[in-house]
Amino acid sequence: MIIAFTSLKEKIRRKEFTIVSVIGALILLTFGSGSGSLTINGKAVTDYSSLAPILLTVVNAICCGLSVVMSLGTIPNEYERRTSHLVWIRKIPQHRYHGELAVANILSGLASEAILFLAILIFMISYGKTGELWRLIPAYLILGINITIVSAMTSAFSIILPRPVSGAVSAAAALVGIFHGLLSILKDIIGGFAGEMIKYFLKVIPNLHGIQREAGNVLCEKPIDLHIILTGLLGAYVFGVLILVFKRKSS
Amino acid sequence: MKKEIAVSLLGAALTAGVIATGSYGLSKDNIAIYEQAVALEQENGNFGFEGFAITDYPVAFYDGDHDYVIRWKDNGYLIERRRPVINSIAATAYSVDDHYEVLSPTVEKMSSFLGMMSGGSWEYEREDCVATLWHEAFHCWQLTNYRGPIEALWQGKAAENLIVEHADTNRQAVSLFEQQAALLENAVKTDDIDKIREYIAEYKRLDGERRALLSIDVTALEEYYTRVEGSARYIEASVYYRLAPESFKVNYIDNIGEYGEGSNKYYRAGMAQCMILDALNPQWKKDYDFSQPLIHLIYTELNIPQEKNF
Amino acid sequence: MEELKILECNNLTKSYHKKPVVNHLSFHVNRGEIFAFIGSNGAGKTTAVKMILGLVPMDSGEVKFAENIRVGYSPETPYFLPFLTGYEALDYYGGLQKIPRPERRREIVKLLDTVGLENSRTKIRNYSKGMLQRLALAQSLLGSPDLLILDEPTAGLDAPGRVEIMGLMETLKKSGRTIMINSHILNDLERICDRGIIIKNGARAGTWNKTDLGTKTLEEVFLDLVGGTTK
Repeated sequence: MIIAFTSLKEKIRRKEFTIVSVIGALILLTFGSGSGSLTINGKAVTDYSSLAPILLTVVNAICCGLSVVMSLGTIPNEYERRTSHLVWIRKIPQHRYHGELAVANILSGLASEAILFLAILIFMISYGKTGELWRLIPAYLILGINITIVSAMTSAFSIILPRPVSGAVSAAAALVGIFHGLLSILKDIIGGFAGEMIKYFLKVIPNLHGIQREAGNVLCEKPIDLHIILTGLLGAYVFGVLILVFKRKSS
Repeated sequence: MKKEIAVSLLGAALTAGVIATGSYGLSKDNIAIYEQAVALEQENGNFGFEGFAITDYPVAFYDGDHDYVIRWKDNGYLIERRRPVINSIAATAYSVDDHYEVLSPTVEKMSSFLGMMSGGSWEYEREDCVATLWHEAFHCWQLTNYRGPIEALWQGKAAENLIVEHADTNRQAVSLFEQQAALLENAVKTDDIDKIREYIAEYKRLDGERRALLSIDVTALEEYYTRVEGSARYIEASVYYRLAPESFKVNYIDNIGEYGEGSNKYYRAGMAQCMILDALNPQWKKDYDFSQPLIHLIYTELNIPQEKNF
Repeated sequence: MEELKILECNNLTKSYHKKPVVNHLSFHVNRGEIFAFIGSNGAGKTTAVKMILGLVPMDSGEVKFAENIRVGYSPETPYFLPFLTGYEALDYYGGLQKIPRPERRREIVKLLDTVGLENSRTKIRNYSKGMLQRLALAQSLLGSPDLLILDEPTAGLDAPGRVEIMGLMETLKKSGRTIMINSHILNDLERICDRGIIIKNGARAGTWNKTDLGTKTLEEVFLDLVGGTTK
């Protein structure tokens, strides 16, 4: 996994993702500490069981966005800069190269998630949930499925599509996934042809919202739906296979 | 080769896991809700409305992709899947072929919808769903047997706009309604017939003032909601009381006096009037045919004179 | 393939947008020699090198390496991950070659010294062109390859640097390595190369051999074959 870890080292030394992750964590802390105000239907939301899922929604959105940004250029840059040449001559097959670069993308996304989870840790401590801190681990792992899906998807698209197109497609797919639940409701409200179109998109795009909801369920001591988690893992698997299968011509 | 086999096996295992953990067809929760609704009929009959039975009407649960239609037959039920008749979230009584059916989203769909709309503050419980089925089944019965009087009051799709733009924007009418609603709530909460008479007499006086401020179309629409939806809410409340008595008062009684834009306030008023009638004459439902306002029945029971024209 | 030959190329052909860039090029490289691949800028040298290494697909032709040889390559424009240090970059490439870590560490320190680079914390993005060239050479030497293919190895180096690198080539030859150098700096090549081919417009314009030069310089031979003047 030397390609993956070297690429990850490179990403960490580029300070962008650290800066954005820290900014994201500060935003979360503002929400979680109560000094930022959040109201729904005119009522201030301050209790743990209402705020925790909302914080996770924010973490999910930031992490998915970061995953697209950090994954978009990794593989194309290798080809554009021709740093790939010194790898090819060492008889590294393309699928291994792409695969390990994608792993670096996923790991950097998970690192961002870990930074943001520190904010949730502080939030839980401030709400006196010190006995439940262990729940952060399964919640982190479950939400990590979303990061894996988005990173793998963006990495796969970046192999075969021009950068602006792969960025647009990945961002759009991530947005649909994040708003999967809302779009499902919208589909039911509007009905008709538009509703049918939304339905077909929702069948193809992974339910990032559902996975985030399960992570929230873990934090709030509610039962989890294994089906949603396994479906997410299957989605990550499919994109992982595409990374290995997609070929790119070396320039 | 080993790696390819391992990757393939992983994919196969994940796929098998997804299939094994998925739910197909109508979930057990929704079936249990239907069974609970039917069990209430077996325990409580028709709640006093002669000829009304929830088992007379198919119940179609909409899960986003299909309708799952449950029909009661021979002391059991059959479930059939079909394309949705309304491809959207709606709890309603709907005409399908030559009969009326109860259409309801599945409990999962409704929970998800209400949770999202309320930011997670409103949880849709099982008793809500059972009560909703009864509410809509009552509408099926109304439409099957009393379509004439009901249609005479209905203004069509512009109904909600008419209320919001006319009744809710007239400050004096709003103030009077608030007072009337408070009186109804007080009347529901007391067993003292003399107090009820006092509250209803005052209600009548305020009602005369308020009607003078609004057009006939608006008052007819108000009456539609009060009579048709109010009685359905009464059935819904009766069911809810049997399922969740601990939260019944908060959800159905303590909010009778609340004002809100739109038609919901008339549902609460109509329900309150049914409850008042229960205290005055438990047999009132037996022959009620929706041809006259509920409040007129109350006036009659309390010997309060009425205007001839309504 | 004959035992003497370490690399044989037959009829290498490549076109871009129907314009031939490498045109039925054939040559071979013998073991133990320093072979020159000479041509003007744009003659097709780098494309031919990349075709030999499999970095660019060829339209037609054949490339044969001797059995079980290790090949090292230094590109014309070396690109490395900019946020690594030189040491880390060499460690990365050595790891890809599966050189065991302890051996790798020793070799990297030695190679950095050999090419005249300090083992410092300086990130590659702060390297000069000359430093990049030295690092490219160092990574090509990882794992002690039998055949070195160097594309413009002295580009960006000052005169002392060029002399140093050319001296290194001779040392490597003495240790039994075979080197193929792609360059347009004829003075350097004349000093150290044994023989080579001259390319014009992607095709072989001629060959030269150090022992056959006579009174002519390599520059004069080149100009005779390719055209142009010394003045």
